[in-house]
Amino acid sequence: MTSVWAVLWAILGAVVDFRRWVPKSWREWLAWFILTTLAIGVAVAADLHLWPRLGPLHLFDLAFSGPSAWLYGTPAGPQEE
Amino acid sequence: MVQISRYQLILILLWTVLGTGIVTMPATIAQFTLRDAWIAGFGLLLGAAICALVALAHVRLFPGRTLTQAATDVLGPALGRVYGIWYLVYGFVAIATIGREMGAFIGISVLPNTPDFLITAMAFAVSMYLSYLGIEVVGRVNEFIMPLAIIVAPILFGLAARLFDSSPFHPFLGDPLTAAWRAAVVPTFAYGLEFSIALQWVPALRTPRTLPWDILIAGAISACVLSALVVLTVGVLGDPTRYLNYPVLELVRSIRQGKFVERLDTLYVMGGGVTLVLKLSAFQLAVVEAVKDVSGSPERTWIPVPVALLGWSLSNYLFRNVFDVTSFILRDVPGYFFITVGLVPGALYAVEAFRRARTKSRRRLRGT
Repeated sequence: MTSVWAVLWAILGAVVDFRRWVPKSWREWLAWFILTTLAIGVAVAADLHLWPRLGPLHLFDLAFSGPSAWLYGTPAGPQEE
Repeated sequence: MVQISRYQLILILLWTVLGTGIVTMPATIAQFTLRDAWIAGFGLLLGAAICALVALAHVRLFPGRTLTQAATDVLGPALGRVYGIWYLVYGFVAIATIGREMGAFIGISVLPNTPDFLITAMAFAVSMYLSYLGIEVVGRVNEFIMPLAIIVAPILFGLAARLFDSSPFHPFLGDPLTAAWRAAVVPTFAYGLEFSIALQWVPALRTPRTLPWDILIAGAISACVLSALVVLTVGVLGDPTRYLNYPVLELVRSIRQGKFVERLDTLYVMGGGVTLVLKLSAFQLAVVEAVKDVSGSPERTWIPVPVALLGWSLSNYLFRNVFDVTSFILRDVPGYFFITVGLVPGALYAVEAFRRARTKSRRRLRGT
């Protein structure tokens, strides 16, 4: 007779089949490694409050506040005139 | 390959835009105008029209291909990958923004003592599993919540409508046209252009040729819903709408029926949370396809975990507070999204159409 634990384990194994989560080729491993390293690096930076003076949001602001202001139709962008 | 129906696609698109739209758009519209706030919601339709045009070019030129695959076809493997990485940055920034908005919304409204990163960790775990299961499952979950939304939302807003006062809208169209346009910029270019993520799902669509129409239908429905919501919010709350982060939450909190029906905001936050998770999973599906194309992998099952991890980390790192998120959406997102998913794909399709026309004319010349 099949034990309850075996049934539960089979259900869990079917729902979360970890073998499918693992990359197979070297290209997949490379992409997986880059994404995971970035994720860990960013999480550590957030935890240690490592925000550079010219952070990513500032760079986005430098690059895209101009086009956005053009869409708003005012040089000041979304600010009140 | 598992494919989704038109109905499922429209529902996914609808909740993708309305997920954060319901939570944040009334507040951003009210920054610019109250009198003409109702008209600004229709900016979503304009954004949907831009996406429908892009989608029309895509399904004509690249039927059965994703946007990142189309970029590789047009630009070659090296430059195509560069666009793929650009698209990945867009996808991760969008995911991080949605995650941070969600953490702040749930933290402020119902879980003030829980760190935001724990709330977003749970949301990212759920959306990661959804994106692992695939687009068909995401479509079915969207189908599942639709009847609930159809029943609960009219009851909530019908009860709030008893407090409606039309005076904030008088005189009719009284603000300058520029104020209405500026209020419509975020719905048009930040939220309306989100419909373009459907380009990443083209291989999974049962009828890719109808994609432009489906985007327009989803845009029209979401524009009407958003406009009705904005009218109700401004009509019930009046001028304070300008100063609230989550005016719809206050609208639902204002509902009182006798002694027993009150504090329905928990119901609204639960519904909002579900739609935000669905929005996260929709964007993760698009990013997973982009990672698959950029890495040249035939499989997609290994991708959701690192994508969700990076999205979650970025949502905690990029935006230190709600002000950062709002400022980013108002100041940078319209231009960023318009260039990334409007102009650049438009340029790609123009190059491809020109190339095909030139090849055709050369063949004709050779024939003669």
